[in-house]
Amino acid sequence: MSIFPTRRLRVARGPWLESYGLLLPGLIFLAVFFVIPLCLMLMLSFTVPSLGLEHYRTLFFTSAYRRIFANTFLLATLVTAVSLALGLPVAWFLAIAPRRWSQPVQLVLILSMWTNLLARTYAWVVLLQDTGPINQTLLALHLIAEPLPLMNSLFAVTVGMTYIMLPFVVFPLRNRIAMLEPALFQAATLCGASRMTSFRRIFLPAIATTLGSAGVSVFVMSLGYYVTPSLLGSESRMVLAELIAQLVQSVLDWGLAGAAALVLLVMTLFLYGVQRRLNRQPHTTP
Amino acid sequence: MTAFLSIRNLHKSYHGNVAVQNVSLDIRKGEFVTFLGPSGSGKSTTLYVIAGLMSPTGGDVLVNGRTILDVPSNHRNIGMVFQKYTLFPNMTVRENIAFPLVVRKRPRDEIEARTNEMLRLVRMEQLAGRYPAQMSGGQQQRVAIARAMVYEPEILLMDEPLSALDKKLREEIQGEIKRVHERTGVTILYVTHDQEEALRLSDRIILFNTGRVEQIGTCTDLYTSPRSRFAGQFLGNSNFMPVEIMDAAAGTIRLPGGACVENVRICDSGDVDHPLLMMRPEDLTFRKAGDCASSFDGQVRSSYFLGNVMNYEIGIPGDYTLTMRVYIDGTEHPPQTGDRVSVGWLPHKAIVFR
Ligand SMILES: Nc1ncnc2c1ncn2[C@@H]1O[C@H](COP(=O)(O)OP(=O)(O)OP(=O)(O)O)[C@@H](O)[C@H]1O
Ligand SMILES: [Mg+2]
Repeated sequence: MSIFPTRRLRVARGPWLESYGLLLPGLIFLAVFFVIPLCLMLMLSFTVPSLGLEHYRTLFFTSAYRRIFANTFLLATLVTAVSLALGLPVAWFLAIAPRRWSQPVQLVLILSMWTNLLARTYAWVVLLQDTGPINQTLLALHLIAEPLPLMNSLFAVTVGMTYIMLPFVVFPLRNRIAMLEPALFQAATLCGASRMTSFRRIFLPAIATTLGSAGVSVFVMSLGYYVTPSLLGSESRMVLAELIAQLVQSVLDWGLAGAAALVLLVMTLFLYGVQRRLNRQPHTTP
Repeated sequence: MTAFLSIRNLHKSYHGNVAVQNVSLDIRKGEFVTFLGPSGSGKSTTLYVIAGLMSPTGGDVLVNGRTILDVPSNHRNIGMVFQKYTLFPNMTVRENIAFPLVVRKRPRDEIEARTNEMLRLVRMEQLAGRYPAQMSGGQQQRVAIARAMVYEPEILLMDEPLSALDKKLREEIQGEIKRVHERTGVTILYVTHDQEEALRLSDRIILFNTGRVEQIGTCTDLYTSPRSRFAGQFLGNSNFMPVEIMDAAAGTIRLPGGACVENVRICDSGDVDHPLLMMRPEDLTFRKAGDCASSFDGQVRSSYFLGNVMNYEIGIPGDYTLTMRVYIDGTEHPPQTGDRVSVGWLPHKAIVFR
C-alpha cells in the first residue's frame, strides 16, 4: 500500500495497526486532552447537582436564556450573510484579477489572519468608540451632532466578526472560482445566456457547495464565538458563549454551563450533517 | 451570388503580437469548411471572432452581407463546440440540451420535442438522465454538439472538438458529425490540425499559417496543387530537394546529381529562397537501375509496414533521404533494409516551387 494519497487515500483492508497506526498519536492526543474532558464537562449537565434534565428545562423554558439563544442565532445568521455577500465579490476578484492587483489584496487578508485576535478586535474598539476616527470625522463634517453609538451594539459585533470570518469565505471560494473552466461561460453565452443568466444558472450552481460549506463553517464558528461579542457587544445582547463563560467563571454553575455547551455542540453537529448531505449530489461525484 | 458568411481583412493582435492578419474568406450556406494549420496559426482566434467571444482589431465579419460585429455573442445565433468539455456539470444531458431553448423562453412542449429530436440525432436517448461527470469524453462531445444545434443556429463552429479522444472514437464521431451536417444542412466551420480529419470531413479546407490564409481549396485541390512549399509539406509529408530551373516554360530542371528532367510543373510560391522540387511519397516507385533520367539510385535505410503499404526511407547521393510509400500486393519480394535500389518518380506529378 502506498502511504501517499493517490486519488483519495483509501485505507487498505490490511492489519489494523498497519492501516490505522499512523493515526494513533493524534487520536491519543485528542482523546486525552479533548474528548475526555469534554465528555466530563457534558456529563456534569446531567449529574450536578442532582441526576436529571433539570438544566435543559431551565435553558429551554427560561425567557432570559431563550433570548440568548435567539441573540446567538441572529448574530450567526447576520455574520454569515454579510461574510458571504462581501466575500463572494472579493473571492471573484482574487480569482480573475491579474496578479499585480490580486496579490496586495491577498496579502492584506493573510496578514490580518496572522495578527493577534485581541489586537484585531481592539482595533475595532479604537475605530468605533465615541472618540474614534469615524465619529470624529462625522462630527467635524457636521454630519452628526452627537457621536453615533457604534460601540457595544449588534452592528459592532457583526462588523468585528465578519472581518474575522471573511478569509474563511474568501479563500475556499477563490480556489473554487479559479478552478472553473472559462469555456463553460463562453459556451453559455453562445447558448444565448445573458450575463445574469450565466451567473444564476451556471456560476452559482458551480460554486454552490463551496458557498454552502463556507457558510456552514462561518455559521458554526459564529455560534460559539466569544471574544468579539464580549468586547464589542452589549450586555443586553449576550450570546451563548458569553453565557457559558459567565456560568463557569462567576456563577460557578458548571451543570448549566455543560448543558449550554452540549446544546451548542449538537447544533454544530446537526449543521455539519446537513452540509454533508447537501454536498452529496450526483453531479459532484468525480 | 453573394456569400453567406464573409470575413473581410480580419486582423487580431494581442498587445502587439499579431495572431491573425488580413484573413478574407467567403463561405457558402451549408458548406463544411475546415480550418487546418499548425499550432498557433490563428485558427481558434478566427473562430472566436466569428463567435463574438473576441473582438477583432481590424476587418469585418458579415452574414448575408450585414456585419455581425455589433451583435453581442449571445444574440448571434451561432452554435459552438469547444475542445474542452463544456457541458454544464449541474445539469443532466437533457437539461444541457434544453438550456438554449429555456434561455430563449420557448414553449415547454417545443422544448421537449426539440430536445428529444436532438437526443435521437446524436444517439444519446439512453443517457438523457446522466450528469456530465458520469459520461465518457466522446459521449460528452456528442451532447455538446446536440446542445450547439438544438436552437437551429445557421452557423456551427467547432474548435478541435475531437482532439481529446482516441482514434477509434474520433472516427466514430467524425461520422456522426458528417451525418448531422448532411441531415440538417447547417454551415459548419471546423478547426483541426489533423490533416486526415480535415480531408475526411470537409467540402473545402482553409489552410492557415502564421496568422494568414495560405491556401483555400477542396481537399483534392490542396493535395494535388499546393501553391506553396508550406501547403505541400503540411498535407502529405512530401520530399523536398533543391534543384536548378533551366527552362521555366518547358519545365526543365537540373537535379543535384546533374541530370536534367523535363515537363515538371513550376509554381511561384513566394516561400522559398531557392527552387525546391516536391515529390509525394506515393508517387515514387522502385525501378530497374538506370531506367531513365527521372530516377535516383540509393539504399534502403529503413522500412516499416503500415497495413497495406510499406513506408521506406531511401538514402540517395548528396545525403538526401526520400520517403516513399509503396503498395504491397504480395506477389513480389519487397526490398529490405540495406538493399541497393533505384527509385523512379513522375515529373508531371512533381512540382517545383520557386
Ligand atoms: N490570449 C492571448 N494572448 C496573447 N496571445 C495569444 C492569446 N491567444 C492566442 N494568442 C496567440 O495568437 C496566435 C494564434 O493563436 P490561436 O489560438 O488562434 O492558434 P490556433 O491556430 O488555434 O492554434 P492551436 O492549433 O494550437 O489551437 C498564437 O501565436 C498565440 O500564441
Ligand atoms: Mg486553437
